[in-house]
Parts: sequence; C-alpha cells; structure tokens
Amino acid sequence: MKRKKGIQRVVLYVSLTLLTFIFLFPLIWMLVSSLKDEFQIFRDMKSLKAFLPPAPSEVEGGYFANYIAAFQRVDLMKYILNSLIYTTGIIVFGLIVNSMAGYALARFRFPLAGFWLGVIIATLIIPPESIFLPLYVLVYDLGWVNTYTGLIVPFIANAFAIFLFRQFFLDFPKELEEAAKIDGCSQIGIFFRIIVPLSKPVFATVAIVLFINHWNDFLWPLVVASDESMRTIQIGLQYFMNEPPIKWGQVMAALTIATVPMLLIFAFLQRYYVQGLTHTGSKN
Amino acid sequence: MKKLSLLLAGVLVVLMLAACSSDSNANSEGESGSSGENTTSDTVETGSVETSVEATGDEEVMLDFWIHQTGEDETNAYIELIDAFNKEHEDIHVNAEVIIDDGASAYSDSINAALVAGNLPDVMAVDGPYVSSFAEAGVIQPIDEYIDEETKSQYVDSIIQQGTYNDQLYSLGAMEASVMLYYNKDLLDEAGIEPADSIEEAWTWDELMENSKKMTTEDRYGLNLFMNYGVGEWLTFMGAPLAWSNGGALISEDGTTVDGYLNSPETIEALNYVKELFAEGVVTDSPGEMQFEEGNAALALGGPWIAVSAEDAGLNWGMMPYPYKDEKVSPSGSMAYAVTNNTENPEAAVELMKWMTNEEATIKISKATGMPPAQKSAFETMEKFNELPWSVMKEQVIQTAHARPSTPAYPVLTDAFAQSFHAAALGEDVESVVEQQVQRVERELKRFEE
Amino acid sequence: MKGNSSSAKPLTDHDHYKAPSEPSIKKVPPKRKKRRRSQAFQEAVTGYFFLAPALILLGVFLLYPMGAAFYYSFTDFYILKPDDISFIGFENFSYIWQDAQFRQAFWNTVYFSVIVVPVQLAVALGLALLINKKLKFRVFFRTAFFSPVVMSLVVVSILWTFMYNPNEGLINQLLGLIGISPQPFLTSPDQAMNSIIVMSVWQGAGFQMMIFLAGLQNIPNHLYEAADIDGASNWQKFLHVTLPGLKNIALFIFITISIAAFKLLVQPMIMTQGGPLGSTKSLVYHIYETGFNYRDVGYASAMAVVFTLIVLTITIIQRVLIREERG
Repeated sequence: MKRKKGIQRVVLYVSLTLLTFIFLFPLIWMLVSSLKDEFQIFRDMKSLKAFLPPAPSEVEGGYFANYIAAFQRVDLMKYILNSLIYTTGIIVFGLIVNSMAGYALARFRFPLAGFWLGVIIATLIIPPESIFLPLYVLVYDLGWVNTYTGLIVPFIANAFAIFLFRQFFLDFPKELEEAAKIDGCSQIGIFFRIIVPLSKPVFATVAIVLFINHWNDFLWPLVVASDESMRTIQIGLQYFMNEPPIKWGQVMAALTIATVPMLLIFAFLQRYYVQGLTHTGSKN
Repeated sequence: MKKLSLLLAGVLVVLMLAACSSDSNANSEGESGSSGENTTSDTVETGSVETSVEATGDEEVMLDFWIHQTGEDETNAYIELIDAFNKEHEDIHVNAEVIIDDGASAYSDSINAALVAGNLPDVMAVDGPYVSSFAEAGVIQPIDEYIDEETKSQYVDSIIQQGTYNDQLYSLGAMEASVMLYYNKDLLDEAGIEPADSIEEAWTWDELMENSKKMTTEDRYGLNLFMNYGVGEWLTFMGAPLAWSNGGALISEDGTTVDGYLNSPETIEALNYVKELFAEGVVTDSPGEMQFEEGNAALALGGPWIAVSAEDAGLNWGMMPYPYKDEKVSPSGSMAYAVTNNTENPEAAVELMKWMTNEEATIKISKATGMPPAQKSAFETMEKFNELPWSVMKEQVIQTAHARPSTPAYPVLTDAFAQSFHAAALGEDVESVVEQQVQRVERELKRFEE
Repeated sequence: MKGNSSSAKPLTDHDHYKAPSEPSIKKVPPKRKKRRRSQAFQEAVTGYFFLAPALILLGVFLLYPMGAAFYYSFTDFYILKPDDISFIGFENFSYIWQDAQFRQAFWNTVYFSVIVVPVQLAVALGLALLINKKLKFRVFFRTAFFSPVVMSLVVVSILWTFMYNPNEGLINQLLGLIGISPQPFLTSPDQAMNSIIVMSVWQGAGFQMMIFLAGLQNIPNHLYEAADIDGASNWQKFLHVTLPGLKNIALFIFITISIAAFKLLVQPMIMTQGGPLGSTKSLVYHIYETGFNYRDVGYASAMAVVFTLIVLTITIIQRVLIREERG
C-alpha cells in the first residue's frame, strides 16, 4: 500500500514537471532569446541550450542589446504610453460612470429602474465585434478617429462593471448613508464621500478587469488608432513583427516589454481579478 | 455631432462639480478626471511621428504629405528632398509623414482608415494599381491641367500608364519596380547552366522548369518565389506576368468583367505551371527569410531589393530577365504620388509631386532603395544601369514592363488572383478555386456599373 | 449571470431592504402612501442623475451602432461612396448563402469552438484537480500553469508564430531532436487551425484552472469525509462529490469560453492572415476584412447581424439547457 502511494506520488510529480515544462517553455524561450544575438538564437535552438541564458562571454553587445535596438527601431515607449493613456482613461471614467449607475440601480427608486437594469444586462449579450463597423463610422462622424477620445469614450460605460457595482452596493449597509443624510449632505456628496471610500475592493476589482481587458484590446485600437503616433502596444507589436528586417531577438525583447505591465498587475493584484470573475460566476 | 460630445463633456463636468463642496474625495476624483481630459486633447493636437518634418507656420500654403517607406535610407532621402523643397519654395510648406510599410498591409491600412475618416493629406503615395480605384471614387484628382506634355514624356511609359485612368493622368512616381530572375553564380556554374544576359536571351518557362529541377538538391531549392511575403500584392505583382505572357488576362480590357479572363484557359494554364513548379519540389511555399541570400535556393524571382540584400550578404549573384512563354512581359508599377480631393492647393501639390519625381529625386531615391528610376534620363545618368547586371533591369523596365490592371475593383481582384496563385502553390485544383474567385470579383464589379 | 437578475422585480425598491420577507415581485412598488410626492420626485431625479451618464454612453456607443449595423445591412454602403447609400432589401443577406468564403469562415469558427471549448474545459479541470492537494511547490506549479494568461493574445500569437516557423521554428527544432521531420504547422491548410487551437488552449486554460480551484475550495470538506466513511473510491468521490460541486462553475466557464471562441479573430489575423487557403479565416475576421479591406460595409453589416444572431442563439440554447438541467 505504502509503496503504491509512493509510486503514485512519483508519477504525480513527474507529470506535474512535464506539464510545467509545456506551460513554461515558450516563455522561457522568449525571455532567454531576447538576451541573445541572432546567430546564437538559431544555433542554440538545435539543442536544449535554447532554454538557457547566454553565458556572459557569449554576449557581445551586452545582455540588453536587443532591447536597446528594439527601442531604437520603433517607438515602443510611445506605444506603451498610448496603451496606458487608453486604459487609464477607460478606468478613471469607467469607475465613476459605472459605479454611479450601479449605485442608482441598487439604491434609488425611480420610474423604469427595472427596465433600465434589464436593458443594461441585455447589452451584455451584444458581441462588441458585431458593432465595430458602425461604431467606427460614428466615431469618424464625431471627428474622433486617431484621438484618445475616440479610443476611450465608447468604452467608458460597461454593463458588466455596472452589474458588479450594483451587486456590491446591494449588500452595502444603509445606516451610514442615513447618518450622512441627517448631517445634511446631498446624495452626490454621500456617494463620493462615504460610499466610494468604503468600496475599495469592488473598485479595485473593476479597475483590474478593465485594465486587463483593454490593455489586451486589439480590434478597436487597430481600426481607430491607425496613425502611427496613436498605436497601442498590441498594435505596435503586430507591425513590429512584420517589419523587415525581422530580428528574432528584438521581437522577443519587444514581446517581453509588452508583458511587463500585465505581469506587475497580476503579481500584486491577481486575487482581485479572479475574485471579480468567480464572484459573478458562482453567484449564478 | 459636435453637440453630442459637448453634451457628454457637460454631463461629466456637472457630475464632477455637483458633489458636496467640502468633499475631498469628490474633488480629487473630479480633478483627475478633468486633467485627464486636458492631456487628451493636448496630445492629439501635437501628436505626430518623430520622422515628420514640422512646419514653422509662416508660409501661405501648407501641404500635408504622406510617404511610404520600406527602409531607413529611403526615409532619409525623402526628408532631404522635402527639406530642399521647403527651402526652395518660400510660399509653400510641406509637412511630411513617413508611414512605414511592413510588407503586409500597414500602409494601405492607414490610407483606408484615413479614407473613412476623411482626413487624407494633400498629397499621398499610392500603389500604382490602386490609382484607378481611388480615381473612380473621387478620392484623388486628375492633374493634366498642371502638367505639360514635355514633362510627361520624361517619365518611363509604364509610370504614365499606371497613373492614367479614363484617359486622365492622376499620379506620378519616382521609382519603377520590376521582378528579376536572380541567380546564384556559383550554383549556376556548378550545374553548367548559362545565364541570360539580355531580354533576347530570356529563359522560357520550360527552361526555368528544367534548370530549377537541375539545381534542386536534398538541402537546396532550385527556385525561390518569396512565398514568405504572404498572400498579398506580391503574388499578383510577381505572378500576373505568367498569365499575360501566356496570352491570358486578369480582367477584360474595358474592365467590366473577369469572367472569361481570370478563368480563361491561358490564365489557368499559367497557374497550373505554378502548381507544377511546386509539385516538382523545385520551390517551397515556406522559404526562410534569406533563402536565396544564404545560398539555399539557386534562382529567385524577386524585386529590386533582393539585389541589395544579396550584395549585403556577400553572395555572388546576377540577374536575368523575367521568363516567358509566348510574349515577353515583366511586372511593373510601384508607389506613386497623387493629389487628393482634400487639397485646397492642387497647383502647389502638383509642384511637390514634380519635385519628388524629377531626375535628381529619382536618382537619389533609386540609390537609396535599389529600385529603378522613373525618369528616362536618370537611366543614362546612372552609370550602373548601362552595364551588367543592372542593364537587364533597365531593358526590362523600358521594353517589357506591363502595368497591373486598372480597375476600381482592384483590391478584390488582386486578392482573387493572389488566392488563386497560392492555391495553385499548395496543389489545389486551380480551375475550381479560380471559378470561385471569379464570382467574388464579378460581385464587386457590379458596384461600379453605371 | 444575466438571466436571473434581470427578473422584473424593482430592485431599487427600498422596502426590499427594510423587510426582505415582504414579496416585492410586482412591477409597481407597493405602499408608497407615506412618502411625499416631492420626495419621490426628488429621488427619481437623483436616480436618473446617477444613471444618466452610463445610459447615454451605452445608448450612443452600443445601442445606436447596433441599430446602425441593422440598417446598413439592408444597404449597399460602400466606404468610398459614403454619400451614395441606397436601400437594397435582403440582397446582402441572400448573398451570404452564396458566399463560399462566409461558409468556410462559419465552419472554421464552428470547428475551432467545438474543439477548443471541451478541450480547454477538460485541461483546466484536470490541472485544477492535479494541484488541489497538499503538494510541495504547489504555488510554483499553479503560477506556471497560470503564466501564459499574463501574456496578451497578441504577444502569445506572435511568439507562437515564431515557434511554429516551418524552418527555424523552436518546435520543429525540438521535434528534430527526437527525430520527427519538420511540420508545416501554420502553412498547411490541414494543420493551421489545429495549431491555433493548441496555442489557444495553452494560453487560456490556466485562467479557468484558477476559477476551478476557487470552486474546489468551496466544496465542503465534510462531504468528502462522509464519502470516506461510506468507503467510496477516489473515482467515486470525484464523480459524486467533486463534479456536482463544480457544476455551476463549469457551466459558467462553458458559456464564457464558447462565446469567446466564437469571436475568434486575433490568432488567425496575426498568425496566418486567415490562410492557408482560408483554412483559418474566422467569421469575425471575414467581417473585418469585408468592411475594412474591401470597404463593403453593407455586406459586412449583414454578416455582423447574422453573427450576432448566432451568438444569441448559442447563449439562449445554453441557458435553456442549463435551466432544464437544474430542473
């Protein structure tokens, strides 16, 4: 019996190690290759050295030669900045607008409230992919093509975020608000002064969900930010990948750079993200 | 529509200000919100690529100019030319934006987007065969009234041909392009094969097939067709002459139908020839980036830029004319400049076009890119075109260049041909694929019927 | 997550919170006598004040484009001729049935979804079960499986394009080490979609694994203990305790990934441009190309409408099945 258990454990760890390799080898290869020169990448690929960082003696231009070259060839900084402006814009305005809507739907009684909630939830079913053409025409009519406004404004209101906020505010104790009302503060004051500061978890969750979704956005920035100076990092990468001369090391460096912000978010705030999604998932 | 954005902004501002006056939270939210908006509009106004040549703002006429580039030397050549233009013309100032072409679709994506958005520049670079598409749609305007016959006659014929739609001239280019049959001298010598040094000696299809087979070995291909460029304009540019050479066509002469042309027996035979090349294993559908330059293919049907990269790679190379079946034809057409209907100063715009395509400019750009110049006189001035191997390219540009079809449905037509070519390469049944593509193009053509 | 909460009760009803026992299913809020009219009016104004920005934005940037797509789908809207739009009835829709590319894109998308959804679900569940026990390096394994999620789809697609490269690609080089000849992963019409599927599962499974893990932790321990007392085998425990406990989460994941799968776009766009021979052209990609590259907004909109209907149908079918399941 004990022996069987022992074998089982060995099998378990061997398969886990194998799986780990399957899930990690592309990442390791990307990281390691970004540090090597072109010649070495191809030479090492013929053996398991493909997954080992270059020895100091093998790097001629320094470990970060590819990174420096990639930054010199295309304006990666500008692309990342564009992505940050784009995502931050959506997050800042999105948090305000959606939390207010969620609050309204959770707290106030007014005509058609149920109807609007139904409408908002129904819009969740509309695939954004099916409206991007008319949305593009609209944004063009507004003169917003190749502007941050055009990138941001259409995605401020977010039915999913409204829904999350509403769920959260439904469970929020009413007593605090009552007290503030007696103090003579307006509803708006109550909301921004009392509710918002006490709702940090839900704001964090929504902010992260928005960040991850829009940092990874592809289709909308592709059509709206056609100008080189407006490209987000995802679009910039796509162009960089095809821009001759294609240098594998530089592409790997650019991919690594583009991953860093997401890595930071996940490293520090992962639990909010998973919480947010499982929360809605398990509730139904 | 402006009202709407004002309304939106208004709503947001009201929301920001409406909270409790003494409320620190609300205020900080509000500040971050509005400052966010400020930065937005600021950056939009000044947003521009680094490579731009910025205006100083004093001049009377301002021209926005979009250039297409494939390499750094090319960009520098353009910028020097534009700086010189700005210095020479006190009353005109050009703001140039250089758009990098990734070989796939970056440049045409930018134009498409700008088209929809209506923010086209005054002058832009357009790929030759798209001239008619844009002309038909009224995106670019005819320039005949600003240009005299003598100036016109200085350009090589194919440049005027590609720039003409409905008997009106729309575009002028600085460079031509062509496809040469490059060869690896060492490998040819090894196999005892004689290269063709002039149009008269050009190889036939059979010779190409036979010689490619001869030079194909275990670890080397006989021929490279640069299938790694993807299924796009390249396949039409490089491949259509096969159909023409065989008496086939892509579209009827009046441009109204492809039925009986794209699917004519001659065109299909040409595609079947392509299919055979692949079936015989002399060429691969997935060559490495530098297959020819690294000596892994003996021959290559490539653009002028291959001469540059082969030279850089230290290859012992040469070039031959495009192979033929019945008629000797060769690919032609390249980026050219056109004046959009957006401009308020067509005359100044044409002035800029002429400047960018005069003899001096074409020589400069030819030197930077390796592309043949578009001015006849430039071929004489540039000595390299009077001796091998470049003399072959010159002969080809002047004697056998054949422009791609001129039709507003070109974007669909070229994709239809490229898809058919690719299907042939992958060993599909050519006839049924072409038949499907014919249907597609016919539908598009209907759009332009009166 | 939408269906249940959209039931028509007035969720804004204050009484709901004061007296949860009171049934509040009627549309018209009951017992408003005590509230003064002006107070109700003021509350309505405040409510709308809070709700209006979101409503306006959703209306302008979601509902209006939806309507516009519907309208365009009956016209010959061509980007180069925006001032010359005419109504052409159902012509665009009837062309959909003749469009060989649409058919191909449709079946490609179905193929992708039908394979990716169950495989990804199974892989995610398998991974979650493997590491949902006391293990050395548990956090390390979990992080490893999750790490592809951290990369964007664009990054992953580019990375794998290089890995799948027919000549110099990493995977072919590795296969070469064990004596397998180079595979045309993305350049053969037979393999390209499968190669994209493998990559997609690799990228996405870690995320669903996390959700499954959260679900597994929510299954009360005493259920397992009870099963132990009954002398249940591991397999029986899995079948009768674990699976039922995960059902809701699995259904949620099932719905989200099948809809996401049907929206396939980035992978083929970056890795294969829809080729070879259209074998990886997805529905959304075909719509994008028709609208932007070929400027045929009318026809693209018609396809977008059909696409929306398909997604809607999938959603509804899944909802109905789930509801029946729950009886």
